[in-house]
Amino acid sequence: MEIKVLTDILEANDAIAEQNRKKFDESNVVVFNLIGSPGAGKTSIIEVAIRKLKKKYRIGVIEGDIETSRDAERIAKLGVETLQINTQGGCHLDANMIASALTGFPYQSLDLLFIENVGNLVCPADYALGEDAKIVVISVPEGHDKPAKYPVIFRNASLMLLNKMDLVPYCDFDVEAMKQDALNVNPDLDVIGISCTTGEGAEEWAAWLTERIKRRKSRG
Amino acid sequence: MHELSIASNLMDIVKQAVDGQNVSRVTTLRIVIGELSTVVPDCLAFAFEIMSKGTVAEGAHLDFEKKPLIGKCGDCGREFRIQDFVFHCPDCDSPRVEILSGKEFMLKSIECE
Repeated sequence: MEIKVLTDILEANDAIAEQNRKKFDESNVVVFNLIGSPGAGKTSIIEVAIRKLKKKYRIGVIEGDIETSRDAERIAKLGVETLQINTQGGCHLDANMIASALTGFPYQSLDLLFIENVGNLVCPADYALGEDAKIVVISVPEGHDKPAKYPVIFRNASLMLLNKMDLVPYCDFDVEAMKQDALNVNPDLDVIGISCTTGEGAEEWAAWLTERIKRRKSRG
Repeated sequence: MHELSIASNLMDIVKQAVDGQNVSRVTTLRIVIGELSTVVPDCLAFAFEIMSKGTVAEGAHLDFEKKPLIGKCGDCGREFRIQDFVFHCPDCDSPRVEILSGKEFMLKSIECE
């Protein structure tokens, strides 16, 4: 006997992500899901954004890590709403973890919410959380071949932050080839080169976020 | 870990599908998987084997129907196989490419007794 099913296997996650998205929309908060390898600089990049924008906007951060609350402690020092999720071995955040986290987190009073995913370029790409956009963070020492090797996350992201630009002189890294590979996978991808050490690209990163917050406010 | 959580989703969908259908054993799951999916079929099969122990789907075979990545050019209308994840039309080089297939990850049907 054959039973027809025709069900998307990630449907359960997508349905919860949609509920999260509705909550964020109702509260007019713009949400970004930051995805990148361990050590790419996701937390540092969020810190840069907070320093640039916290006087103008209300910002919150949900930190996803396998263990420890070190990232949340770092971010909390900057005086913004912060929550740590530990996945206890899980390789990605899923929509249900975010839904649970939201019950105790004052997202309604925010303009901008960052969700920092577990350090991983593969699994988080498949899981919608209810975000407005995914941001892929990649750093110079990782090498310029990442868009070709991990195309899905580059395809699904709206912005690529190329971090640790100050290390280009010391690494065998072809910035233009990397950008071209990323744009081949996703011609609509925005690209910003940044260094959290020198401040390069920080203005551009803040402007990219500001533009999206303003767009949301005018829509709401 | 990723495949283990997917195997758990899959098990939930199977349980729901066979509920009330007088099924004694699930023999095959037909899964459609697009080239753009990050799921590794062998890992999922292994995870499902563990996840389905002691259930109606214990020992079921996972049959994967792979869908190639096919795009359609938004400018010249050409349909083409997207090679090496380069989303540009091979004829007119337009970056406006709509994905026709390759994103699927779906349980299509279940064979059971």
